[in-house]
Amino acid sequence: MVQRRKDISSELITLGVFCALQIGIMRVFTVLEPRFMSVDNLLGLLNLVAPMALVGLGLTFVAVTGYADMSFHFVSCFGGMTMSHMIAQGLSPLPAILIGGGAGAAFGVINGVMIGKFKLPDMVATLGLGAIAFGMAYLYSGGTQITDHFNDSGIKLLYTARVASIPLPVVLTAIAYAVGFIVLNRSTLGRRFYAIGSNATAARFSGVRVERYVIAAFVICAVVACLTNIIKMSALAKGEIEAGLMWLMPAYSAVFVGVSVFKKPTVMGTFLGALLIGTVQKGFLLLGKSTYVMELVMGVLLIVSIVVSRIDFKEIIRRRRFRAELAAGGGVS
Amino acid sequence: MEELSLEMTGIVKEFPGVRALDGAEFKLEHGEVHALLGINGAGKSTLIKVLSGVYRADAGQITLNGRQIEISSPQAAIDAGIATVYQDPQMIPSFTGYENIFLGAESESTGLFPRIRRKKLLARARGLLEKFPVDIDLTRPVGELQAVEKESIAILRALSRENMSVLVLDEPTSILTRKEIGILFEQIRMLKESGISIIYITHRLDEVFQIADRLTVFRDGRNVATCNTSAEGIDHARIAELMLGRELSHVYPPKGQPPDDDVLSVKDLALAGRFSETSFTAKRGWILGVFGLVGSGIDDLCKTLFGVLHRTAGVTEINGRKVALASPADAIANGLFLVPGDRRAEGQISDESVAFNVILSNMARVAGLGFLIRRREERLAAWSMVEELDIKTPDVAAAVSLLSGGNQQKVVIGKGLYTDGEVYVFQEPTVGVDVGAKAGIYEMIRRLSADKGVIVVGSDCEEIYGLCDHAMVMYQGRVVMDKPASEVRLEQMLLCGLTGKARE
Ligand SMILES: Nc1ncnc2c1ncn2[C@@H]1O[C@H](COP(=O)(O)OP(=O)(O)OP(=O)(O)O)[C@@H](O)[C@H]1O
Ligand SMILES: [Mg+2]
Repeated sequence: MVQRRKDISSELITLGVFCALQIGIMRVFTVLEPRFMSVDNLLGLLNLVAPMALVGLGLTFVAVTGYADMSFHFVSCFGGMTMSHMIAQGLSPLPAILIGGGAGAAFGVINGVMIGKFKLPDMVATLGLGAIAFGMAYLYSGGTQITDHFNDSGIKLLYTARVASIPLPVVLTAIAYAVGFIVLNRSTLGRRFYAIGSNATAARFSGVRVERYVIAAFVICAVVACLTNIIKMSALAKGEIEAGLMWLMPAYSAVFVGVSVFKKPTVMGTFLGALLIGTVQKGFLLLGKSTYVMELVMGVLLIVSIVVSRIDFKEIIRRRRFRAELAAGGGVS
Repeated sequence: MEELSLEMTGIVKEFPGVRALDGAEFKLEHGEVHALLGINGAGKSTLIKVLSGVYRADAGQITLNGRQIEISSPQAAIDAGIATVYQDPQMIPSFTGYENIFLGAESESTGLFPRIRRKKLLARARGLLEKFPVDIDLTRPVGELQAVEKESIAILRALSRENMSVLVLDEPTSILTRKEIGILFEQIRMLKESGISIIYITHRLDEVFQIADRLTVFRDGRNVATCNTSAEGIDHARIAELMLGRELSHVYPPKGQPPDDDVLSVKDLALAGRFSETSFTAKRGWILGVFGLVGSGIDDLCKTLFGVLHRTAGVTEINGRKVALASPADAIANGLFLVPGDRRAEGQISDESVAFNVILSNMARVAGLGFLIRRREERLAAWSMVEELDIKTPDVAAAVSLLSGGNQQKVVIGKGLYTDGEVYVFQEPTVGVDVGAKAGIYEMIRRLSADKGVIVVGSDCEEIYGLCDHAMVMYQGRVVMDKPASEVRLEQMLLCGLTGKARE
């Protein structure tokens, strides 16, 4: 007999576990340091989470198509330094930002062509291109900082401006997430990204132009990383070549924490991941712990989330229920 | 009473929304070949997966050689002497054939000297090839092999198990060609001689009489009959009736009307090194059948026509208009759809839902503003396909990988129908589909041919012959027969495909 029965979805369970974890962590920090729940700190948390969520969003596109990008943090250094260079040359902020983002797009295209068209192994190819991008970033400054015109060009507004008293970076991130969500979850484009990630050959046989989408994913990842880094530089008020390197870990952690909740890379999952990681970081910062401790905790989080992503909670619960039914003597039919 | 080799009683296995096994019984005697039959979704593969430790039954008992056992993992099943060839063998594409054969079993001398280990493994694999002499290169990555070669690797993997007492074969012949089937049957007979019991699942009923001693029919997760294959009154029709629970009036639909205008016309299509200049047409009201063995070029022909491979010569016209098909996307945009031969690799996005798959090739039909998917329409579209093709699934949101093999094939066909194209090429359209559903698919193809161009391509001669109005046969990359179906007999067509010579 075919029976229908509503099962609690595995996602909901994991989501519940995840929320409990998030709240738990916040409580622990509050106990250790009551200032954790202050408005100031929470606003700071938002400012910290926003850029991590943003790079993570870009990486999500690459992860959905089934690839890895080891270059976006390097590329973001190049994009950021390009922008800084333009500012120093006296260009106004908007074109400087666009040129910085465009530089990222160019690297994204190269990544996408190498991997989508020429089928090079993604890890190695992107790592190689990333090294090139990072090397090229040096050309602008000879390895030092760029500070010219940072204070008078208005670029700092990118970080300091507020929209309805919400910081501009937070607003930009929110907009990016809204767009990202619609594209990946609700649009035909998103379906094609997911189809490729799941079975590229079948996607091709179904009429998906696979190469184009792979290129698009890498371009999105690179551009978003560059923009994030540009925001960071406007916060630092200088072009700092190594500023972009820090994005690698949080981006991957955010994506994988997301995968541990939803079993595949998703926009929602990446956001939750960034939130969790940001919370942990903020807590440690507040407690005055060194950044090394922070790195360590992030590493642990990444590994734990990968482990969790492999557990099938639904199956466990189903087995429990069956055993209970049997024990109750109710039989199974 | 003689002790049984294997006895499974009261097996229950439930999946969300589906009770796949509902108190199933199965008894296997020593040294017999026991055919397990049933329509798509009857629960055959699920029973096998319970037996081989992939799934744990919710209830029921398994007794092996008189001892009740608990099979908690695939390894436990192997240790107990149960070797399995799954319907959907899992392999690591980047690993070579012999590495896949010994995957998980290469324990002896691992680690320090991988080279020696590899040599040893390769030698052992070659030893297996002597027992099961198929023609494959075991040193190539499995990802580069054809479906039939992958299946052979899966069989070699099962045969490599020492201490085997039960061998399970889940639809091995739906992919194999005549040659490998012959070798496999030979092997089965030898194993049987040595006292090993074999469970054999198939949808090809003539094989049941060729190889099996007894048969069990499943329906809705329960057995409805077990008997000797030589028992009185047991024939194709009777078995089909047991499987379906109703009589099956005919398998092939009546032949078509005199052909109408050309929908597709292909001139001198060629792919250097694979097949030479080939011309054919597909007409409304008419089915073109192309028969050829694996390796005869039919697979390349389909892929070249569809734009997966890049033709070295040839012109394609659809409805009198010349079209350039450089990719499947172009082909679909111009109204040509291919239901590919290798369903798992080329046909379906297994992790995604039925609805996702059905609309994938024509999402514009359910999209607002050109790109936003209207999910209500999507569900409705998917449900209408599920009904039209009688796909057994609890919901259109269920992942395709959770459907039974035959129902997965129907999803791929549904994706094609949903493109509402002009020309359909069906490559091996009924792989893994049960007798009843086959008749349904044939009828659907016949109906479709009333106003579309339809080409059926495959290595199952009887199917092509039964279905087509015009027969083409390929052999070693050449067309060796091309005439109206009414002028050929089945034996002629088969012989022509086997030898390349059309004898009168
Ligand atoms: N992992 C799973 N999760 C949910 N449902 C499943 C799963 N595996 C099988 N089913 C369902 O259980 C039923 C029996 O499937 P099974 O694969 O055993 O059929 P089958 O007899 O092997 O059919 P076929 O001849 O098409 O291979 C089907 O309705 C199928 O959709
Ligand atoms: Mg099956």
